[in-house]
Amino acid sequence: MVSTALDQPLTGKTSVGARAFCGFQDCFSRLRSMDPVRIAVVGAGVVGLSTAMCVSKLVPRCSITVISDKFSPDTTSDVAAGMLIPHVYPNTPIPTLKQWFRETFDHLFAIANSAEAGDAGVHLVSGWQIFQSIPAEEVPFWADVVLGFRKMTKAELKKFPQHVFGHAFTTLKCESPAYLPWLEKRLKGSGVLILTRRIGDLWELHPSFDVVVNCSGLGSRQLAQDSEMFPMRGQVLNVQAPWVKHFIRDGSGLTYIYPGTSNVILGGTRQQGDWNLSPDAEISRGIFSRCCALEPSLQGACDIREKVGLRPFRPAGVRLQTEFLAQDGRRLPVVHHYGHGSGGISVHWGTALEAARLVSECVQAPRTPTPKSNL
Amino acid sequence: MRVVVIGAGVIGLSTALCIHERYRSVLPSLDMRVYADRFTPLTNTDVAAGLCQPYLSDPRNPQEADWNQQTFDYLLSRVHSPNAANVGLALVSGYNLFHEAIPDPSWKNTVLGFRTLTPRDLDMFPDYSYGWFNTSLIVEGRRYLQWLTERLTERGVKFFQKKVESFEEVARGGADVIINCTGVWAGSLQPDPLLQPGRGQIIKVDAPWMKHFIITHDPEKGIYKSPYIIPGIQAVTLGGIFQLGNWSEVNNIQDHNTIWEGCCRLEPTLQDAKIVAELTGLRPVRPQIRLERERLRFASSNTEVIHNYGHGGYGLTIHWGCALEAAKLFGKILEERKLLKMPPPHL
Repeated sequence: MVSTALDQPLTGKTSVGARAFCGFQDCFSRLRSMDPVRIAVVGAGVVGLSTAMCVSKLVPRCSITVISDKFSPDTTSDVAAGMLIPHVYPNTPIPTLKQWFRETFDHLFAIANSAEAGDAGVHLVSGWQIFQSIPAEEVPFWADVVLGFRKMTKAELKKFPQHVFGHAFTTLKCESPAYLPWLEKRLKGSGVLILTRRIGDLWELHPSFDVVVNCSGLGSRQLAQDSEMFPMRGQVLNVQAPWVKHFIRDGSGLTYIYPGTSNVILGGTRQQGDWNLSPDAEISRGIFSRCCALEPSLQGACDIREKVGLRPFRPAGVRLQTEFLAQDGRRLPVVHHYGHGSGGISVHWGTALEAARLVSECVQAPRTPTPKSNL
Repeated sequence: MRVVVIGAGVIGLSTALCIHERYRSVLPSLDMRVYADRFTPLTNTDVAAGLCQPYLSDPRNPQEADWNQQTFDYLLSRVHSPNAANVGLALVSGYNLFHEAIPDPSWKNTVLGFRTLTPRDLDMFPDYSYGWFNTSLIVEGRRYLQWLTERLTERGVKFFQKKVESFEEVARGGADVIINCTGVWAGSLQPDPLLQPGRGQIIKVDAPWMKHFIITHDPEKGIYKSPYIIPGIQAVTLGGIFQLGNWSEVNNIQDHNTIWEGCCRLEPTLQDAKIVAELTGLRPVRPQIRLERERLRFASSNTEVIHNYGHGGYGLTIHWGCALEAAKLFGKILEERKLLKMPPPHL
């Protein structure tokens, strides 16, 4: 997947001694010098921060700056419930998807069982995924990644008179309003810089940075000129219902009840191409009604707050790809890492590891040697 | 017909409600009152974590297994209703952990989704090598008692705070039937060498990320002497104290340390949890529940007592089955006295 830019003829004047800053070449001359590679990660949602984390661990001698206009609690990730139940991406082979999910699950499972769990906003939750008709695939590919997966018993299904089949399992909930600040704290602790700034064009990062990692989610529509990207609007209700200890998800994925640390999230909607960030009262009533049908005790819920998030939907699935931007003699390597749609949190660590590998390949010493000047 | 219920814990109030629901319509003269020296939040029921789970071993009296089942089924039918939270009810899943394999409990089919733990489950609990996972119910003592009180008040049942010194006193006051739900203090009304306190201490913490109960077992130590963590509606209960014969109702610092260290070792995420309360309760321990009639003889009085006490650490777990049984006994009293205008309601 790595571009063959290394094989392309080097252009522009080069002079190692004169330390001319010449874009792409400069990147590699910096490598040969002992200066750290300067990496910019654009985006501070779950994808941006976890990628920065993985890069900091995988790539030696680099300085990382996370740049974003939005940070928690204002990112798309913050609206998501964060339940580890993966979504299928059309162009991603199932084994890859399973690997991403497993890596994410294992990473979060370790946190959930440590003293960090509370700060990181990660905890275990059990519950049910229920179906109104028997699904084609009775055992999903991720059944052995979550804990204790089994089919629901008849006695358990009695709770859901409209449903005829179900899965019972234990999975993780990763709450971004806690997880993102926790990641940020860790990043700062390892010397990563955090910058609040809106980037309108990736070239703004040149020549200050040698490599850009684009984790801008829906922003890639502009930043990567990816016209395929569109929002999949989701509206949810955050309610107080602390007696709800189990998740309930209708197999269609449209109706769900996800209990968390400080609230229960009721959802939801999937509205294609809808950019409206304002909650719709009619939709809220619909969500509440659908959820009460599954869990009647929710009628006692209070302190109901509406939230909207725009899922960064990409029809082709997650874009994990290195692109060598070129313009007016300048070169800028960009590792794209966006397009997670509904399933970002479920696979974020697995895809971040992959993105970090791409960054690592990008900064490795060039295979074609550059001419040395005679001093 | 004057009925006096002595005791306002879960046994007293649920028995009162059960009898009133079944007999008020066929016995218009039913005048029911509750006498107690302690009401919620000062009863032992208020201290209980409220998890519906019988002891592991089969009860000495096989009827108790039926009463456990009846209680679970009754509460399960209510947990799916819109006012479940108001009643204090919630479904909760979790883990029972052991140091070695043991046979499945007799109640495995009463609870939901019972299964043994997989190796991955057990990875979370390095000190344990075997266990179960199942879905059960919690019934929060305080909320449930408040709900029962509301239902009884609606029905015109009157509450009186008083310390009853003897059955005789109540009989002379005009009671035709006394329902004795005095729990661990039953011995002060009638000596019972089989009844002892099983002192328990619990710490309530704010740990809303805990969605599962975790109960450990150490057969050498005995029931409730091993750490347990039980989430409630608002707070999480940490426990692991069971001291037979200890009447102290005061929190003890060593017990605090035992609970805290045991539970944090079991669940490291608790280390940062904020403590919101610490309470001591006295489980009314008895080899089996005393649930039977007794006819008192004071001068000319013809007072019946229905004893319903000695529920140990499983009062909430078994309360409704016992209430139904007490109601049956009450029905028999009415039949004997030919007080029923209509056939007794089908129980």
